[in-house]
Amino acid sequence: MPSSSQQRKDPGRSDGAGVTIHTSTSPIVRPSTPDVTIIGGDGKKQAKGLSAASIGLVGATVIGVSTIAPAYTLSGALGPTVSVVGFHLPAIFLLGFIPMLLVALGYRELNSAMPDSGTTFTWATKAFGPWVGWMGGWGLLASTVLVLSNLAGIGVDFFYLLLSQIFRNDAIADLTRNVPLNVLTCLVFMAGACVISYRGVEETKRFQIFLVSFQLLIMVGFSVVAIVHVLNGSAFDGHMPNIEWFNPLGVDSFSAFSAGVSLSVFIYWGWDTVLTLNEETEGSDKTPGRAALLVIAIVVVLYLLVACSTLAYSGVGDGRLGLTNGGIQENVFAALATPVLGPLGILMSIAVLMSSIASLQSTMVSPARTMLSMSFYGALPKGLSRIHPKFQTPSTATVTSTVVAAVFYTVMRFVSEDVLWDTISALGLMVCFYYGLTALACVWYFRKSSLRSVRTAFSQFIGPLLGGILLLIFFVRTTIDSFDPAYGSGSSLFGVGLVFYLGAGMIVLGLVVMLVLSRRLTSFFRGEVTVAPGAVDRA
Amino acid sequence: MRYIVGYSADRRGREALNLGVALGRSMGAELDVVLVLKAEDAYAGALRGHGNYAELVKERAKEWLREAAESVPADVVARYHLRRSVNAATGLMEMAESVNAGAIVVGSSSKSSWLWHGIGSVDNALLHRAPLPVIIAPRGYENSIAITAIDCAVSPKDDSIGLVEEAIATLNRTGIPVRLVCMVDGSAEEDEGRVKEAVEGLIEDSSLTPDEPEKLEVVVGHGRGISEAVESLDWKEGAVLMAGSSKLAQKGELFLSSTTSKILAKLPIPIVVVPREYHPGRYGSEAQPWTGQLRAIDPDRARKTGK
Repeated sequence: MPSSSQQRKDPGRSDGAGVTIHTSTSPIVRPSTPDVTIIGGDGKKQAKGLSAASIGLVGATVIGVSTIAPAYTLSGALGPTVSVVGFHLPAIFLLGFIPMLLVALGYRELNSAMPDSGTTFTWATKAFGPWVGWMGGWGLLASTVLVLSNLAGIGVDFFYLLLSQIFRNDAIADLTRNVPLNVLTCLVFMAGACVISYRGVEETKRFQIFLVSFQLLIMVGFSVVAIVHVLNGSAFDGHMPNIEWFNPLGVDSFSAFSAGVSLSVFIYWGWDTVLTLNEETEGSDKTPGRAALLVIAIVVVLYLLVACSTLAYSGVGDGRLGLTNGGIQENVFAALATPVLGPLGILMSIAVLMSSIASLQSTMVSPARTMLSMSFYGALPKGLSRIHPKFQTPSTATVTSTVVAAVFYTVMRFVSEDVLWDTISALGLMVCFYYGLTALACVWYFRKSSLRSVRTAFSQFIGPLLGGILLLIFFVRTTIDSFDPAYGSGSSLFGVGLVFYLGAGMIVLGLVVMLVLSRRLTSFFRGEVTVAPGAVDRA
Repeated sequence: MRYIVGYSADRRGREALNLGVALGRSMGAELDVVLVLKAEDAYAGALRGHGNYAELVKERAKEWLREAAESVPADVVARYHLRRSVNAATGLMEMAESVNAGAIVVGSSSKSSWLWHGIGSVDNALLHRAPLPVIIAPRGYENSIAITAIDCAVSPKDDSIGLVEEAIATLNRTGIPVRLVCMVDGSAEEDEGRVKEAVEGLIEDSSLTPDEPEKLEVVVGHGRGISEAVESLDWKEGAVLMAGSSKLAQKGELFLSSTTSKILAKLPIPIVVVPREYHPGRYGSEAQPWTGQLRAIDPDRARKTGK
């Protein structure tokens, strides 16, 4: 607190280096009551930014569900997953959660030891040095660019579908197939999300709760109506849900299994956010744990329900509404909304559109912060670490990630008709890559201390090790498979599957960029920069 | 006396600091340069992922304040603060309260490029809530030498008497020449000098008499609409315009009146908006005058030392 005892500026001194800066925090910012949801700046515990006690169980659950964005995720991932595992979709959704859970344990441990906006980049650098760390950061950034373009793409489809439902004109829904118009609309969406992030506009708690409840309600409603259609015999290709659908051993080959799991890793992506809330609890740390369980219960039940009902309604044929019809696969709900829900299909459009736009906006912020953090440690050019003086946002990094995502989407849209499908497949791969790396970073970083107790042996060693190895196996296997031009949507370039370019190509590109940068940013790559200097050294 | 200067590392913040320095030099006041850090809402924060972003911003903000310190001349006493709060306006008002400041100095938003004073969200919040005078630098403000004249916007109506008295009190307190400025919607021919007479009548009715009557002047600007009237007047560099609050304001708080907001659009000099019923040191008010209690430093001498 400022007081008269503070030293006066010496009139004879013009050197700015010795300026005393007093720091204080508004009393309304301190998390003193459950209603006040903010963050202090002084105390060590507060510096990280959050008080879990102030978020509460409902809040934490809402955050968890909204980072997963189930409506958007399912719409994008159902088709590609069905195309590899067929009716065994529910089994894969269940199994896909296991590596995710194991890796999330490691994620949480690292976050508690080294809370840092660079996340994977910082942790992998700490564990394995600058080169591996840089590639981890690259994997994270590449995933986000992929997901940004995919989110915006899904948003565009639903935008035109919604318009066609409002004006009762089917022709409008087909406008999304018009490539220049589609690209233009997508760029407008991205620009909008970029402006919001740039200006640091925040989502409110109430809006998030509304968004999440609305999504859940619509998804459940959709599933129930789809099942009723099956029972009435009015489904497109009715099948009653079968216990065999839950049998993972029924999947034809390990390749299909691996591809399925790497896709389902994507559908749970973001769930770890709930676990990291744990860090901010003082005393009672039960809330985040409960919230994490609640989120996962909600999401798994919802995914299984939607997976079963969609399979039951559409079957795995390639007919008009069949789930292996290439024309509808990349965005299943856009095709199914009206046949299943009739005039109420418009609600589905609103739910997915809102889910993808809200997700687009919140997804844009984290990579910008990671980019800023990498730049701060000298692993990316300095310009990216600019913080906007007024909005206090990572402005240059935000604009950069938007521009890259926009260029990427534009190029991809012209190269491949099924760009959404292929980006989802590639995204699964990239998430496997950087999550796998993060998990192994956890194992290595805690190698000396993890075996001291049963709890840490599991959460710092066995869990992440198993999860990391599994994800990297799926990553390698699926990358090899994606070389086949028939992989994914079947788009190919020079006889090689497009997903291979997007997955493996992205990593090769990362290596090239890293080599170029290493000549300019020598001190980081020589290991002269200490990342996360305040890390709790548990080794 | 202390001024809160709302600083940000951009044009707007630098202009606020220029004005703060000019005021500090003329009124013998000290500056509290405040950079408000935005506290992220817990929900939004959790959605954005965790980490040390807030710390990185804080480190950067310290550098910004050090840069600001370099531009503050040695003859001005200044302290530097980082305040974490829900928004900039709240942070500035909290700091003002905790250091018992006499006024808050801020810059203009660049939103509307054809206006001198752009009222951004920060200014807007302060202008409708602050319990102390708010001083806004116009866009492009460069003078950091001294305040050489004080203008006071009054109307020829009886309810302006409070402001006229405060203008005279300001003259007596500071010794800086004061002009009572009246902006009239209508031509000078129609008016026939009645407005000027009315204002001079208010001076006579005032309970205060100017110590140096030769430094008190009345000027009237005419034009079609307030903005033309503002443009018809000659605004001196080094002057500031003092204006009162709307009748909508709570007693002791600011509320920008519609006339003042029209004046702001065309005003090329800083504006000081004072709370409603602002009469520091009189009628039992414990408020501090924004000019400080001391007689102002002689502008001519300040000019010389400034050069």
